[in-house]
Amino acid sequence: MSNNGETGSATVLEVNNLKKYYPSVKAVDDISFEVNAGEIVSILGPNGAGKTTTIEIIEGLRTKDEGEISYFGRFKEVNNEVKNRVGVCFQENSFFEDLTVSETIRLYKSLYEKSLDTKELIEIFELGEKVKTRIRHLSGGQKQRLAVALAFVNDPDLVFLDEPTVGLDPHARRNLWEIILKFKSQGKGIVLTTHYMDEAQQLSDKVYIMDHGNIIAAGSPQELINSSGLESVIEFPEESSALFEDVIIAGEYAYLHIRDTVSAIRKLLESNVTNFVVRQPTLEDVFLKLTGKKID
Amino acid sequence: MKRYLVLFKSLFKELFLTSKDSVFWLTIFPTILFLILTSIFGNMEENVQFRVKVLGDSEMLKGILDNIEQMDAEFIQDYSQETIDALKVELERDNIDAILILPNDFDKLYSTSLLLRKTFLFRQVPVELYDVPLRQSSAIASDVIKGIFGSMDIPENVGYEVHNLSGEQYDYNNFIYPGIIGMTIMSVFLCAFMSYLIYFRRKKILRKISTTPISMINVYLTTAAVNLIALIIGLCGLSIVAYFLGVDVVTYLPSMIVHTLIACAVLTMMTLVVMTFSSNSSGLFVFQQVFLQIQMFAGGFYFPLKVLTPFIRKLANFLPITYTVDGIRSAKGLNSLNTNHYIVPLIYLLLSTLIVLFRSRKLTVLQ
Repeated sequence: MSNNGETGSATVLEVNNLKKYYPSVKAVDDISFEVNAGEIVSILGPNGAGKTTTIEIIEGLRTKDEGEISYFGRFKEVNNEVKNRVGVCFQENSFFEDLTVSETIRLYKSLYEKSLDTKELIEIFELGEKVKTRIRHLSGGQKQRLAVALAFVNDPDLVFLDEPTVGLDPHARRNLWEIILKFKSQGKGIVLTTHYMDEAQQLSDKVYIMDHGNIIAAGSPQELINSSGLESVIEFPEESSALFEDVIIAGEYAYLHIRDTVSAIRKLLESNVTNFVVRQPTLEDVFLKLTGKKID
Repeated sequence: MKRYLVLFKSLFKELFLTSKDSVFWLTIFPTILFLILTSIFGNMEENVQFRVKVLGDSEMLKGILDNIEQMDAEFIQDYSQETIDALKVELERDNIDAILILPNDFDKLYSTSLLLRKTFLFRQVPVELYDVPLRQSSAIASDVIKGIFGSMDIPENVGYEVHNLSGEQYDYNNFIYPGIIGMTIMSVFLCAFMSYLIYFRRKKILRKISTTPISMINVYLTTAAVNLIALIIGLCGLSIVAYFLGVDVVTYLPSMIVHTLIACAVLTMMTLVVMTFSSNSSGLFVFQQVFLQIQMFAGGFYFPLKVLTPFIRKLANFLPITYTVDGIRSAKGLNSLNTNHYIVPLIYLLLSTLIVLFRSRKLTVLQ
């Protein structure tokens, strides 16, 4: 399955039987997955599912209890060679607040053996106007873009992006998607953690859904939707949820995943429920069906 | 090397150049503190206890001197020239304030002179008094002794001969300067350095850096280098002001450089040791404050060790920066400790380094 060479669709990351147990919880319970070059892999899951722990173990920030991680088919641990080829964007990013954008990029560039051109990076991430601005004077969105830019500063082969579009407006989100897809097309393997289901659906080649430390579903977004057996989703107010047996309630809405759409609609109308929506299932519905909760 | 230079420049800007707090506390405050202390204590003696050596024996004088609280008099029976010469050296070195040489059987001679004072058999009792008039404490001690004889009813009974020695004047400015250096080293390498590392940890900046190829220990050491530069800037400012206030900065310079560098290394490693044991910022803050206060007040920074209680004096012997301050003072002969000034700090440095090497994993952000 994996190709350990370093050309074409080489496996840049392979995780086998990874375990991390804490006294009261199995944070990561025997999971395996892989990421190929030029591929975006999303890890989805509700809070506490074990996503962050998994990613942090792979990044070398936490120790593992058991299992094997292989980087670029050659390395079994996070050494400097691996660090030179890996980019990381955390969910919460901190900077030296009194450095300017260009100084920050120059600092992180200097820490790696190879790097992208500062000007190019600034242009890609549309930070040109803020290049001489101190970090403390940037907006949340600008800081987020800088954080993602820093993940690519060393021209990495494998990138971890943890909630990269949090705090961005819809336009900026779309722009960042394009940038991520551009880097993907350059052959970089990207591991994405996001709670935006549309983002995962748009960007991912493969999605791993985690819950309680396990991977409970894996595949491309379309494969997951197809294999879920969902034909339609009816979304209606939670107070009418008693009309059906297998509804999932999330917040103010109830979600009914059903094949026989017509009879369900009839039942709703007979009960005078008119404010409902019928739509094609999405990755979010698959997630909801599998985990029983909406992602926060 | 380039990466360390860029990291150094970035940290220097972040931690020092753009931080008004750091500039004030690390460079301006030591000078202000020096000015405050010298203006308050500059013309005062370091203590009000007069140390007098009395050659000879006299129950009468003993009784009088014992009743003067500030008088710390010791009677010696050895009249040899060696003893007298040794005492003169002690007086010149400011280890004692005055020497009083009584004739043998002073009490008997004094009583006889009293009885015979109206007769041709009357003889004055010859007494010799040695002091250093330049030094305030010596001049006062000498005056007190003269006053005692003056109060013995008929002053002419005692004919005292005063010998003025040329010891150095006690100079608080020269005394306090090494103390301020010690305090500045503590501010920079204990407070600021540890606070920066706590801040980095809390803000998770180290997490991001730990995903790059640079090692954490090198990040810490680069931060220490930034602190060293801040310290040098602070000490330059302090020394310029001190020079104009009459401090013999040039004499102090070589020992200041050596002892400061050793102290910086000791405190850097001690900070790292503490960080390997606690990732909790409040725990680190407690250590910082406890060590700072004990070292500052028990370490002879602001007062000579000899005026401290025996317990504190013993405690001071175990504190590394005591030797830094006293070592710098030794350049002007103002030291209180006559032991080697390098051994204790180097033991601290060695032990701290070993602990840091042994527990270096704890310095990473690995969980």
